[in-house]
Amino acid sequence: MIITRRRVVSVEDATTKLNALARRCGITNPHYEESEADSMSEFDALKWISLCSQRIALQEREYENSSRDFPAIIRSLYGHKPGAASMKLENTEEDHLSLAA
Amino acid sequence: MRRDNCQLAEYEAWFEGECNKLTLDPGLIIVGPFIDALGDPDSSPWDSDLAIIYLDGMYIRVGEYYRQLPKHDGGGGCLKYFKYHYGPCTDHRDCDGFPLFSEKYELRIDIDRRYGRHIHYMNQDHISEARLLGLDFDSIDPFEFIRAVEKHRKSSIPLHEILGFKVVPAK
Repeated sequence: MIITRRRVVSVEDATTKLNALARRCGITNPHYEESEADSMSEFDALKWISLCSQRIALQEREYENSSRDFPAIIRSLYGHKPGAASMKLENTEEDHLSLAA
Repeated sequence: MRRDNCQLAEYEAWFEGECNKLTLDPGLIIVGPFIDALGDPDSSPWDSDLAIIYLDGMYIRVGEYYRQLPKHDGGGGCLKYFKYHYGPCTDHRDCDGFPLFSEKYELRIDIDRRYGRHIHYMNQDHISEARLLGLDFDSIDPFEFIRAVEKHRKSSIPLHEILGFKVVPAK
């Protein structure tokens, strides 16, 4: 027997495979969580768990790569996580009141 | 004996070596074996999948999932879930060529998320490890299962005798 080693190389690939499996198992709007395997048949459940873990691993790798691509000066100023230092700006009731005053 | 806390290449070499030791009759349909690297190319986690389809409409399918151990525990792959199944084959195949699953079985040995360590045997579902004497979930591997099924098919000795376990009646 010759073993075939396979790899899914992107989050999109893993998500496509998960979506196909979810469709076959009648799951709509999957959340890509291990717990969704509980409603699947035996080997589909095993595959689902594998693909979920694969998707997470690929997401982490993509995240690390994007973090590494940030220029050193930006990392030193804002930390290693891109966008982690910037807060979402929102107007609050308090802001409006203080501006009005 | 299966490999635990090993790297993907070691597992692959072990798996291939065990596959090559099997003496199967000609004319069977083999699906896989596939080993899917789930993270980095040469490290854990990974899964494996293999089916042997017999001409009489029965089949074996063995699937395993190895999680990643933390670095301080060695960082290798550690068997987390498995399914070793022997039962009647359906006519339909998935995109990899595996028979679509049906609930019919002669024996299935599982470790899964929902029920933990259990088997399906003699029309009883989810027989927990606590009711099984002589079946070691820590040491059984896909090839021991395949060899047991092969022996069962050739001798008609019940699978529990070949694998050396007994089911204790439920209280």
